[in-house]
Amino acid sequence: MPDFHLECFQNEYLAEGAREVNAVVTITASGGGTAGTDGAGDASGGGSVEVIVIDTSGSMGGAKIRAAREATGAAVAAIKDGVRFAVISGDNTAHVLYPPNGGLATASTQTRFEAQRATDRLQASGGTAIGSWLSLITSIVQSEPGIKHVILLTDGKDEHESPETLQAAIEGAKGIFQCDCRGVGTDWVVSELRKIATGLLGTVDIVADPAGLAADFEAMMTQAMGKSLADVNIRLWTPQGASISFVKQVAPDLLDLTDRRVTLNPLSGDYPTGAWGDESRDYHFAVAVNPGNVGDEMLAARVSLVVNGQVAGQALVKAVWTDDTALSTKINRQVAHYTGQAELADAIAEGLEARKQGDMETATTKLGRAVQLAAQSGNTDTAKLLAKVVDVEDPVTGKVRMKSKVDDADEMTLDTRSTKTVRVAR
Amino acid sequence: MTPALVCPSCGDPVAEGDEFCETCGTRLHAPPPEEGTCPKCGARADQADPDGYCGRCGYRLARPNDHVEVEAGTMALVTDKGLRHHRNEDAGVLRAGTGFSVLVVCDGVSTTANPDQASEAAAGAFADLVEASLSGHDPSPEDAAAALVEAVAAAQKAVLGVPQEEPGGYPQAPSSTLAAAVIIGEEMVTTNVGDSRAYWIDATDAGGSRQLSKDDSMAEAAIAAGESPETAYARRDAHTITHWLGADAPEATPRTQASLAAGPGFLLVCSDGLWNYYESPESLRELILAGSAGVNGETTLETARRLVEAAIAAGGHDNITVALTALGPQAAPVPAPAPAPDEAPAPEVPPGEAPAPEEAPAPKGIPAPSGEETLPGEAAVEAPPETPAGVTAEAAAVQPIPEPSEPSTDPRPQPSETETKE
Repeated sequence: MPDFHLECFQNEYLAEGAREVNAVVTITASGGGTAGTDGAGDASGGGSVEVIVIDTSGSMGGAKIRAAREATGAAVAAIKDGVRFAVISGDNTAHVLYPPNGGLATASTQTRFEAQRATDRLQASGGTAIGSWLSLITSIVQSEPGIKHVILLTDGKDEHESPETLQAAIEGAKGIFQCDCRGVGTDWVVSELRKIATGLLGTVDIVADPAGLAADFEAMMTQAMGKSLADVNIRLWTPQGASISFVKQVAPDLLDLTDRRVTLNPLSGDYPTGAWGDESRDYHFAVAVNPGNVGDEMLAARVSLVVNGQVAGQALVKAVWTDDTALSTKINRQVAHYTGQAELADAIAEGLEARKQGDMETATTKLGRAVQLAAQSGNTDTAKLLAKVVDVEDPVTGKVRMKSKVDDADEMTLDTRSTKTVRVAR
Repeated sequence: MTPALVCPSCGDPVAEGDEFCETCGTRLHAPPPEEGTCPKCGARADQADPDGYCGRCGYRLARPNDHVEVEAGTMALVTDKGLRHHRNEDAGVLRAGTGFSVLVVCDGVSTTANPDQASEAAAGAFADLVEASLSGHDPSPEDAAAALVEAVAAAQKAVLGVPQEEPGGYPQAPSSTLAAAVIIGEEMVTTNVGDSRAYWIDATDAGGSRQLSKDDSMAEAAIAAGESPETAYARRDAHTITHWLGADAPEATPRTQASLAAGPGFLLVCSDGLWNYYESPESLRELILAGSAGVNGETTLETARRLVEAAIAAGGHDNITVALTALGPQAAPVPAPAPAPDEAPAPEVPPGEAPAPEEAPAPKGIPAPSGEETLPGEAAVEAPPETPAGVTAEAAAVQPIPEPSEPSTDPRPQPSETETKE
């Protein structure tokens, strides 16, 4: 089991009467093993399950399905011995392509070879009903122990089922498996895949060019193989009378966990964080507490990391009331930075939405603000993506002009990756 | 008209007769907290968490150094977090050695990381060094001055050893002020960095009390540049310190100052938590003598405690630390019979010209304070000091400091008359 280290960044000083406490907690895991290499699984007592689901709707024909076959083969090659796995073909319904009798296979030289052979049978025909794919996966993996991870590839809109069906399938899969979503081409809907990815604690990204798919799948699978701990929860204790404004993962990307709370008792609740390997993530907590008197100190929150029911580390978020404005008016650098990163993501989302609606004035203002925030925070990746959608005149003031012609792939890439954050330069 | 009732915890309105606040659930009309319960919400002590917070309302429960009282030899030290700061970032140390005594007060700078650790480390390292260098021989005031200079360096080094980052705290390097005094007989050798202070409080001569230290502050810098004290202390940055101990401290050679306890009185070393309310030597003298210090049996510790309480009563805005020792005959727990004044002539020292330390009159008949047997009262019975008040001897490595007052020509009162003299 890896060692977890929690570090809290905040300005604990509040002005008289103030009640909002903000803190960024960096959680770093180190010294962990990797996903089961001998079938015995990880230290948490479980094995590890990988499912690859490929959109085989009619629109996937041609270069896309060829790229998908190659990518699936590359991902299968990266699965370690002992890991239970399956390859699923999804259109109006889903069916298990490998293993041939359904269920899961155990990875070995033999089964990997068989699975790669089977991927050649992926054929593009039919519609898209992603909810039905998720439901099939849930039924296959839900009784399996350990880390359960899914790679989902689609190229189009979820048009052959109702949004309610998709939503119900996501809800049914929550806590069962994690799902990384990839959209190939530009005909899929960012908000749909984002809904799945955020609901199932995964990532979403665009692979605009099918040629890039194999490398992406292999990287995703390799990263998944590096995870050794399933079911890591953040346990948040707050004092009586406090209310939680939000709990967000803020690095490596933004993920609002506020509504994921599983209440344990009136003062404590758990927030799922998915599986962990050797990695570091930042979380932003905002808690409103009952204001104390000047000179009072309060524990505004206790952030514990709970692994298999055991507390693996914790950080204390404090509130201290002072009448020294030199203390209370400072904003912690990390808190300010991630507040800015969240605003950056919002500005991009609102700017792109306004652009779609034809409200170019709002789009220019919002995307201009995004350019400014990206420049200020050193988020160069996002700045580059923005520059493909707007002409930047001055990144310092955020003066931009809308480009008259924007490539769909560029707009979708910006939309998809708007939640990627950078960390504070130390 | 009945005033609106509000919840003591969250401030929201509550109705008369309500047992609980509807907003935050705090029990209203709760009985006063019992020993070991949370003073904020009344939760039982067993609900406290291992980190020292109430497990129900999160209120910080008392820390060990919130209020500390120490006695050593004839010295007393009281430190308190006050009313408006959440922790005590002051620290102080007393050491009663053989032939010398040491009093140190440090005030951690709130806007730096781990200021409480900085002050504690500084005070401890300072006292350790002074004790080590003055022990084992008959230390002279010159030895003391040299030791103080080295001890400031030791304190600086100790502050560098404090963790430079505080989780959730301030990024600036841990910093602290320091004021300290070594007493050898009647000689008081002092030093300071920042705005913690040392005062000589003359029990008999109303005009003889004075501040021995000089703040390293913007106000003092302005005064040095020619501003009037009134204008200088009205500056917004008057209390901003110009020297401190810490990794980012400006280079400076510590000042030391040797002064003579010219009669019965008190040496006071304190943090600005006290002197922000009682700044002038006169007001401090009045405060100290108001409690019949020494005369009616108030111990030095009781006097020190009373000073701290006075600062709290005046607002208690900052942490307060008072280190105090009585020098001279008024410190006797039981008033001693009045001795006949010694007629030996005092050395003639014109105002403004300090004698070299070696020319200063040697302490007569007063055993050096030590941890075990020293009773300054007893000693003073034999020979009250005779040096005119206000005489200041500059020790080695000393910057000139203006003479604060004329030598007193008042006849020295009987020790037992100290209280009634005024």
